[in-house]
Amino acid sequence: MSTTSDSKVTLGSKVLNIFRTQRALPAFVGSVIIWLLTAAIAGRGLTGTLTSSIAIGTFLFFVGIGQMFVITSGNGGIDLSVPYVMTVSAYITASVMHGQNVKLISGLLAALAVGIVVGLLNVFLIEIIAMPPIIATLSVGFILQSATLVLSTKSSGIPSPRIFINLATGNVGPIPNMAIFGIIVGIIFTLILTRSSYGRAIQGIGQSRSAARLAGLKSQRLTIYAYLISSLFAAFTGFLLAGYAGGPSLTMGGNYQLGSIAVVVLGGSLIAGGLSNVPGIWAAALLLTLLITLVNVAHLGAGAQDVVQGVLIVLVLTVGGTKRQKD
Amino acid sequence: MSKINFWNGVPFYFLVILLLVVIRLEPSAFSYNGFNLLLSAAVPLAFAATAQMFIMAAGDIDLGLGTFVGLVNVITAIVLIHHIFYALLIYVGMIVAYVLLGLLVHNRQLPSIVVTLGASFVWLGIAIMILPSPAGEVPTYIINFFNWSPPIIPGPVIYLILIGLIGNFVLMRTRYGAVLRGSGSNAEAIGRAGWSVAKTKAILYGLAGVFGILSGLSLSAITTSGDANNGASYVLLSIMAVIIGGGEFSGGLVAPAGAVAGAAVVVLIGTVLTFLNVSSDYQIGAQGLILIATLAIRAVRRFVSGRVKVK
Amino acid sequence: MSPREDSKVRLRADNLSKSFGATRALSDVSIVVRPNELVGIAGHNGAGKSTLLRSLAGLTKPDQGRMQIGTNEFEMTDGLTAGASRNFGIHTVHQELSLCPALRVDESAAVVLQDAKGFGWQRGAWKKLEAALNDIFPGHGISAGQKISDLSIAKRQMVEIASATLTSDRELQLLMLDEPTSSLDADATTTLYSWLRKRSNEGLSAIVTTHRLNEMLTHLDRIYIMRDGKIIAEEPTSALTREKLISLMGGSHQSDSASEKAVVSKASTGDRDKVSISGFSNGELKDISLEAKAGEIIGLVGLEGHGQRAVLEAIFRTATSRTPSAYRAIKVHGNIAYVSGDRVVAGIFKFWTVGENISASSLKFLSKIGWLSRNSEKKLVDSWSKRLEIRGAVTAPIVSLSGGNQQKALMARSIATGADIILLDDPTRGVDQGTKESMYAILKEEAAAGRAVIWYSTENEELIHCDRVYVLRAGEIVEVLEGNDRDEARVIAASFGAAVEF
Repeated sequence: MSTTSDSKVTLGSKVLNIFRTQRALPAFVGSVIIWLLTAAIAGRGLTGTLTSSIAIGTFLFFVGIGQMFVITSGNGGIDLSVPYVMTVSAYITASVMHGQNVKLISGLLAALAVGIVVGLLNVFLIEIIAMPPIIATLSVGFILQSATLVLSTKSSGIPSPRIFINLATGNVGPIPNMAIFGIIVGIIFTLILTRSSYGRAIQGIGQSRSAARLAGLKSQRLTIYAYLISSLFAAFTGFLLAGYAGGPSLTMGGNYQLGSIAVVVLGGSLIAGGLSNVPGIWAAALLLTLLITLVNVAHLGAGAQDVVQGVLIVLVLTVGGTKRQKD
Repeated sequence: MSKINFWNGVPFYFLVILLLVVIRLEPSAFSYNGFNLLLSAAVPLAFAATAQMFIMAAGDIDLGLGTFVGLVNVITAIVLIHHIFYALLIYVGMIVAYVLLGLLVHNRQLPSIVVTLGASFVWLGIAIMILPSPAGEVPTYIINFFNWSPPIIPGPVIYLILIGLIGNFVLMRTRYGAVLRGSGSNAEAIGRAGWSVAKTKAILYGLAGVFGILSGLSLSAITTSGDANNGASYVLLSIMAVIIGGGEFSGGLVAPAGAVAGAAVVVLIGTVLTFLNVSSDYQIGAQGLILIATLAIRAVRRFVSGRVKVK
Repeated sequence: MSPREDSKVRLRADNLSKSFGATRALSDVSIVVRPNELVGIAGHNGAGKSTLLRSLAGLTKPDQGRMQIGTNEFEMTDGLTAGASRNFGIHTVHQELSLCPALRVDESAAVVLQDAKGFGWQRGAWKKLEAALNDIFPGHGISAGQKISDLSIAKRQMVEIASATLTSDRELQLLMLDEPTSSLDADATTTLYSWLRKRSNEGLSAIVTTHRLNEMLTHLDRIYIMRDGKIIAEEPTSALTREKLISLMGGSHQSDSASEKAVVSKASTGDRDKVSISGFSNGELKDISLEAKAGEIIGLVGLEGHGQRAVLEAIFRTATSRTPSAYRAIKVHGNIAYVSGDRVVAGIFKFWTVGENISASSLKFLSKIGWLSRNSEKKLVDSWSKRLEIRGAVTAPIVSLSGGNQQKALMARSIATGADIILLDDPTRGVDQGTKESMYAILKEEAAAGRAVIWYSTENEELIHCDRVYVLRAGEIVEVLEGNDRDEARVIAASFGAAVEF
């Protein structure tokens, strides 16, 4: 047994493991810090703040998961159409369901349909027309924005079905339904990322497209699925958010554009692709949501939240990237 | 001057066609005041498009330009009127911030998309903190400067031509401009030829900052008051203007004069849609479609000519 | 042209050594260039020509070495930079083009010329470049306003070479050219050498590395012959013939009949062809015909970059393309796997463990309805790691392994798929001898088990492991060697092609 190479190897695997699994750690630590700060300043409601933030953060978490798949696929992959898909889906599903409990499933199906259509459109522009993903998804987003404006005049003021509102805002004991739902979805997608062949393959193509090609991975197909997942999550979250809020609104997309990207980056996934994790996104969503509360409680004004978010992202990117190999 | 061929003139043909359409729809537009009104909104966008163009020359993209312009607007409406010195200091500080962003992106090889997206929220946050709701007063001398009405040729036209000339001069007519474009095209070659690549990034981002400030100032002359959300749409619009103007995403391939023409095109498209009684709801979607169409046509052209992609 | 006395030296380098990991690229190399001299460096693959040039140009820092330029002497390990190199009047034209595609020709020249300033800088820079182009490549047909990206490769090479001769203040003392004529046509090549000769009469020195033996013998004064990182000979060209040069490089010249294309078809053993190509041509390849049957190991050899990779790529593309016959002239029967030799760029997945790298191509087999079976993966990975004797736990990060073991992991990845055809792209680059031996053993075992192996190798000792070897030159197959003909000497001779080079 050769000692030096073996110990180098075990040290190496230890480092790699820490590097990979604990990339989510900063987000968890950050959440705890902000949570404690909030409680200190507000002087009350530790658990209440936490559970409600987890619940609200679930929406950001969902679109973050979708965005993560797109970013993981590498090649400049990014989805800027998220907030617009959310909003248009909220309006379309509202008008499909028309406030009727019985049409809840139809609403869900409509949301999925929106997700598939937009996802395919994004992919078409990126892969066939060879538009850079930023421009392609942004352009699609703007087209959707127009669609939303038109739809909103026709289906304004339609409330969500009562059963939906109850489901979205309800609790199981002290724990909000959304929080439970979020954790369940989180576990499912953690498994998909870490234990499915798709999850493995998408992280492969994000590390090196050329290595992936020669290894027989079908990059184009994998990327298509990634954009579909992102749009489906965005459409579903818009549908869900309308239920939570009682109805669709034009500004509901608001913070979700930067937010969906922020949680991916803050959660420890690499912006260049190839190395991602789901729990970090959950923690980062919680962190950003708690941040809003902290800013309110400290009377720092709306702008402070934006500034902190922006600074955090630039900081995490600067500090957290992997060392580039200079040759 | 870059090689004059048919395709370089596209944004200008577009511009002329749109002007003719506008005049057809609204004959009174064909007048001094008409052109003044039509093109005054193009000036701030032309500045912004030029700023975006400098960033794209570096091979990057700036998603923070919109809120940056908004922040300038806020400073102009709140600080400038009372404390000229501090306002100037802030403007200079904002330009320095852009230079630092550029150095950060270069030094750590970060993706400009996400860094500028993060920066966009910093600008927005600061703007909201200073001015939570629209208010303020833009100094009269600013308003007068940008609403200059010289005889015969409307002020906006002169400004647009000037912006185009300056952008064109800096990037296409100076030797260092060639070095700047080269740094976006093949940074290693530029480095081997003895130039500092970090310096080129700093200068390109710095120039973008300067034109961003100018965009905010000229926009303030139009809005006359401050609002953190002013200029938010400039991100996509400036990218549209640069692309319609002939710029491409691979570094170094930009057309400064085209970007200004592109800005005018973008503004006129909005005007035409308004004259055609197209609801403003559709306008933003139309912009997305036009951007897609422009790039789709380019893709088809590339496919047809079978041009080999240059790495 | 006889060299001047040794006291007059333009450039001298002594005891140059450079290693890249396990590979000794330069081994105690000493070279001297005098004024008025045109010196050539010849050698087969991996001889060290490019590394030597890069070291002299200041782009690669050697592990050891002393340099003397004119009257200045220094240790090269102190870090001679590219800029400093230029200060001494040494200009280099590298193999990779260093032009900016977005710039015009005149702008490109101005970027290189430090003194093109002020009003009319484009015209000033263009005048200088045009003068150089007219001098070196009369009739070049290049104009100031053309974009670099619109120029053909040949014209770009001309601009590159002409730009390298431009100087602002210091006179050009030494010009180093790394394979300058590979993209030029016959006329441009001739005028380039005439220009070099003219300038050398006026005092210029030049170092040229090329595989065009006739060019060296005709136009240069003295040739250094390199092999395996060492200089094994130095002769004035007057004392050399083509045959002697080839034999010094390790080859042996054959009579003309050997350079005829010989398509040898193995006597039919009833085995089907796994890969069969007949008359395939594309941009880089001309009329390629080869076959690989089950159980055979086929070698693709010759000088680097003469189309071997293009052949592998064409076969891979045909096999993996969804359209039924991507290339009609290529027929592939069976599954295919590709072992990349460029580990860092197109091989390993750098964030993954050894095990994850090995299983990367087998995900489909290891999953049921999308769910990856950890047990199956572990079994697969453990067995292959054992079989290839990979030194490093399967749970270790792949980047912690040595180059050789990384390569073994890549091999394991490909073979684990059970593919019928295995393509290997120069996989033993930078790999230690022990690892190479185990790789050869595995390949033989796999071939014996019925696979077809097609192997691009730049190390001629490896061809002994192949049943049949195709020598490529400039995208064409110039020799097919089997049985006793499979020796390095014949490969080297064939690599340099027939006596007529155009």
